[in-house]
Amino acid sequence: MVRAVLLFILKLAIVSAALFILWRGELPGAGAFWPGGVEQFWLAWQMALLRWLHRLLGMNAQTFNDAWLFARGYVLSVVPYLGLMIVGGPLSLRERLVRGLYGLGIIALWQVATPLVLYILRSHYGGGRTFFIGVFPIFMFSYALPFVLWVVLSRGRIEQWLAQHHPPTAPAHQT
Amino acid sequence: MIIGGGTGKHEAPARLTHDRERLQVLRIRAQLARLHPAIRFVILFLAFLLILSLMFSVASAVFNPHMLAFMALTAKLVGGIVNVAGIAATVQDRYISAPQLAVEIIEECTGLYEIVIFVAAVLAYPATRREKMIGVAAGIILLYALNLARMVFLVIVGNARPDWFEFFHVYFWQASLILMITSLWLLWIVRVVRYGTRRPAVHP
Repeated sequence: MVRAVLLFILKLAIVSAALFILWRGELPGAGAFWPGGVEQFWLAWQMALLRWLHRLLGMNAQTFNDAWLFARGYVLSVVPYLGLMIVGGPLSLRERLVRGLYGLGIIALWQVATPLVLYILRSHYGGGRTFFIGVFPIFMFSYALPFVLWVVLSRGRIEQWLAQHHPPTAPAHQT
Repeated sequence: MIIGGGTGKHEAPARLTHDRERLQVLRIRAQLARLHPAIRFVILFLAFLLILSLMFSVASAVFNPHMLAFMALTAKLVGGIVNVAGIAATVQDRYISAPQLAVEIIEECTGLYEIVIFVAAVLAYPATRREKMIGVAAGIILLYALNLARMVFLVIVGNARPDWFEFFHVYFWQASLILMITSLWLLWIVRVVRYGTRRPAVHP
């Protein structure tokens, strides 16, 4: 059982490294083989949508830009999430694809919502201590989002996967 | 519901409010129990994460000198291990200077964020108090140790190949957080909860 978990860790490390190389489009030492990688497309549509929302809602350009840059440094969920969905749990290929896409959609929504929430908080509280206390749980949620989505979208499969490798020990009084 | 037993004028209404609150808690518990285990786990996890995050951010602001001292201690430990590995690094406060690289240890580099998320995951999982205490204690130690290993690796790689540093820094920031939390959480379930004397009825 522990061996299965260790194998899971190894697989997750390898898969997420491969995904990250594609995400950035670069290999350490070899430089960029695809400048911008997948990340450029992910950021491009977000920027376009946020610019549109920014104009629509008449937001202050400087505050909005600050909020966007601030959020970008903390909202990093795609690579670890895809890594978990590819490696974790006994899901069929179709389930992985469908659930993977659901999760990506939620991550996308969250990544668009975060700068908007930061903008509102920054407009109200400036950049002071209250602002940082308020945004910290948002960032912690962003960090935990791949894990949360993996648990929700694998619904019950994690337990099934654990049970496959080793049945749970029965309580002493039942034997 | 028990009303009465008190002699004071305001005791009965106070007890009634208390009983109502208890009833409300029981209702919430009953509603949670009806949910799918995975959904229940996530709701509890998010609630714990919110509480712990707020506690952490307030504590971090109130005890800022202590937080700075903790960052300096982390820098000292990383610098010490890097020195043992044969790299002549000097540490000043929160800054580590290796021949080819200089880094500053900030709050994100201390492993405390990972610890907050991991503790929320352990507390939300259906296990006994003892199992949770083991999980929290072991998790704090192991996550801090793993985080130190991550920092040491980054300094060694960054010093040997400064052009690789940015790649590994961002990669580790993205991947290792989830990797460390998920791995330790699964290992805790397997080693402590499932091999324990009592198996919880439901799991995510």
